[in-house]
Amino acid sequence: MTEPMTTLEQRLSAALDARAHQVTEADLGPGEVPDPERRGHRPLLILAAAACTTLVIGVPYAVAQIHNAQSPQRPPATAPPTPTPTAPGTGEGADWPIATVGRIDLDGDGTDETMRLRTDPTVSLNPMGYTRARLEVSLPEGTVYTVFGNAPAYHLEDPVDIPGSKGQELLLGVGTSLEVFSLVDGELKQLEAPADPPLMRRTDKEGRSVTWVADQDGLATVRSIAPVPATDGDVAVQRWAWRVSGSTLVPGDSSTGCASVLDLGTVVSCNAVGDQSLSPVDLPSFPMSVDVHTFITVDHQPVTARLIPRAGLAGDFVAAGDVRLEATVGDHTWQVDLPAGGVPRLYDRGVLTTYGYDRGILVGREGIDGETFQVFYFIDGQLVMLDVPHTKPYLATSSGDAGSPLAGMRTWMHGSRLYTAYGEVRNGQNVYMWELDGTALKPTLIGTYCFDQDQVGHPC
Amino acid sequence: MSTTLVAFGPAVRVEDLYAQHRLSLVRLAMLLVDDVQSAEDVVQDAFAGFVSKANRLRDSEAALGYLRVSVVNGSRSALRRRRTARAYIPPHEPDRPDPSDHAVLADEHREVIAALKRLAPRQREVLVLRYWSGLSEAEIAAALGISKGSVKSTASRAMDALESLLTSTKEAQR
Repeated sequence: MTEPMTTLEQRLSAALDARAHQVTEADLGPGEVPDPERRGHRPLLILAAAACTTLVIGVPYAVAQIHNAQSPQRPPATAPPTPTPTAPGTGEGADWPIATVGRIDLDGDGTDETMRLRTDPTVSLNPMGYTRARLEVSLPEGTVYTVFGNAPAYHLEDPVDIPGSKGQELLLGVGTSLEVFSLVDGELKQLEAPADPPLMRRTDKEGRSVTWVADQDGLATVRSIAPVPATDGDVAVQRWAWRVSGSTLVPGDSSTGCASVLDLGTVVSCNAVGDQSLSPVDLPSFPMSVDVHTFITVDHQPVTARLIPRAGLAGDFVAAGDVRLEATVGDHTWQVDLPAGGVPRLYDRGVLTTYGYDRGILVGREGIDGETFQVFYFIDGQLVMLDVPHTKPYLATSSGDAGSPLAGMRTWMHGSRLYTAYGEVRNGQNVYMWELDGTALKPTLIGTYCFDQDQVGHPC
Repeated sequence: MSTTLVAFGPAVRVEDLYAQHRLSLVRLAMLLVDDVQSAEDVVQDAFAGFVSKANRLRDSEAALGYLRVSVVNGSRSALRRRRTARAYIPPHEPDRPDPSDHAVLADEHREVIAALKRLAPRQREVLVLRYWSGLSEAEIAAALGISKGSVKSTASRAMDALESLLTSTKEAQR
């Protein structure tokens, strides 16, 4: 996903990058780790620095020469450093905005390294999320990066410990597929995996539903044995647990079981299905509370969120009472109660609402008319539900019923920002971007767009 | 897909940190103080202070974070010293851009950098850390020792001020 910056932000980012890159290694004096005992004796340098403020950095060689002449504490020349692994901030995409940050113990030494996913800031209103991305991991020896070409929706998943390797593995979602990276012989490598069983989350050509599951046991692929029904229910599945063997992923022998169409990754013994005495209160039609490991971080720590219905159910809807949203960061848990109404859905993608800072938690409420959305934001240490306007456009998506209050409305996420298309203008629709305004979300009209058959928006 | 691979080796040493991060830290300092020589001094100072703490910082990311904070603080001190030292410069000595600057920095970039220099130091720090270093709000807050709320509001005001300066520059050129 891309993170569209405003024009001013793009100008600023480009100017800073251009200015910074005026300084190269050749412009710096011979470098050596300084002796701490020599700090503080700099009266000559202070005045020298002041005098040099009239000089412009646009003449780097001249500045370097003056610096060498006026810096008696400059250490003697040393041999240039040996070629190092890529330094942070270099290479294609190094200046792209960071979309996601995560932590991974890639080398298995018990210490986490930082992994970052940066996305190309080219503005492109594309609900499918086509973009380029750069994946980088900061290893002790330097930063390794990989730049990906155009593809939909790159996203960094939580790392997982797959048996067969020393450390954790890095999971990168590429569209509906999953790519796995591991440290092999001291190098970060994408592990080769066979085409079958697949590592993806989608319905295959045979109509079978496929998903992958990453948990404390490792990484597994689960696939329904037969095409899945359109509605919910239980299906027979096959499950393969993956293991690392050198630079490849190898599936283990498959096991069979049963799983809900709505939660294919939770495989249980088929004998268990149908044995329980069910009632709408005892067994809700959606999981009671499932931890969703979001792509949101606060102070480098991931946010885990969960929805907890606190009422009885009627059919698929929360009929009475409320739903509680819990968000946990480290040892701290925040709680916010949501009113009843609609099937609640927790999204693992955070929502950006301002200048590319922290993300908010997105919760959807699905009902007969469509789905409405709520965003929860960390503001001054509190988890706050952002107010949304009660006039159109709503932060919602219509189910298609022309007579419903949500008719003609479509909301999607692109580059972690929320957009709503609404109304018919000429052959297109007005598109609004949702932005933070205090503790509220406000729609800002960004233009009239016509959408093609691939749902790519172009100015009309 | 192109992949840059790196060989994994023993734990990082200060010398390795210096070799890997010196240039980027000098660039960071330079964006804050707009002077390569001062920027080099700030970074040398930061590493000098870091040497004594290196044994207690095993995590290279924490080390980089520490160095970054030192560079930001050092840059702020350098600007303060510069303002003090400027009192001793004869008032008839004007600030004059070097004509060759036009050749190395595009006009539109120079306008933005000139406007950035006119922002308050804290505002400049927040924008540089956000739009060049690519830090998150939490990382910026940690680097500057302020709350995330302050980072948000400072960034907002800084962007407003920057836009206002660039607009008035454009109007003055008409």
